[in-house]
Amino acid sequence: MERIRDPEGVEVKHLINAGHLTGKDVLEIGCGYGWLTWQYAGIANKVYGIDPCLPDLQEGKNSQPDSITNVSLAQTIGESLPFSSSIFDISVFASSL
Amino acid sequence: MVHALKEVWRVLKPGGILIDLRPISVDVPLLILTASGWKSAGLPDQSPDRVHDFAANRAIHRVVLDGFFIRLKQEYFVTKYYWNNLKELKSDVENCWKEDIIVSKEIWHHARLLYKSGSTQRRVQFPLRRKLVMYRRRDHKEAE
Repeated sequence: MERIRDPEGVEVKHLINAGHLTGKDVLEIGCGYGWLTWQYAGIANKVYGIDPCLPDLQEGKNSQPDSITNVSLAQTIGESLPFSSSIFDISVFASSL
Repeated sequence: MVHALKEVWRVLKPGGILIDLRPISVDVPLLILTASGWKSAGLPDQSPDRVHDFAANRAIHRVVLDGFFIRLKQEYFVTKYYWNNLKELKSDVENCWKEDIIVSKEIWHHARLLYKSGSTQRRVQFPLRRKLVMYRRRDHKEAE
């Protein structure tokens, strides 16, 4: 049995309310295994999650809900983002700054 | 960190939002939950993680000063972590949070006593404080 993290969903509620994520293109830096990502991805337009830890990303890909099809996960670091300029509405440092 | 923040500035659309969401290293109680309520086993020391907090704060302060972002708002909240027993918590502390938190022998001892004295419906809870800070991407034209 692993730890149960925030079963009340407090963190994602604050994120959604603050960021108005509905229909937005989101970059999540430090997405890890997607614990937070899967909770809000359904309301966003597109989500790109990045993390330097490949095993975490692999776990994330394995646990991706079937209903979520708008998320891409990639191994990279925040200092070198493999994206064009001016493409995201919101960028979230998820416990990674 | 400053370089990563400048990269985020680059990939955000004009007026885009940066959200800094992270735990803050304030000491919070380790709680033993039972059917009749909760009791505190003491305050684990989270000071080892504060160096990361300070470094992140300095980095964001730098890019705000340099005109990349404008701070919009900040809020605090609590997220709760639960374990079925102290063994699970101890494993997590040793494997995941070793560099961030110190749980003294006295707190472990007190927690064990509380856990043993509780009912069969026992759980361990650690309520972490978090903060969410929002910034808006500032265009260079605004700084001129």
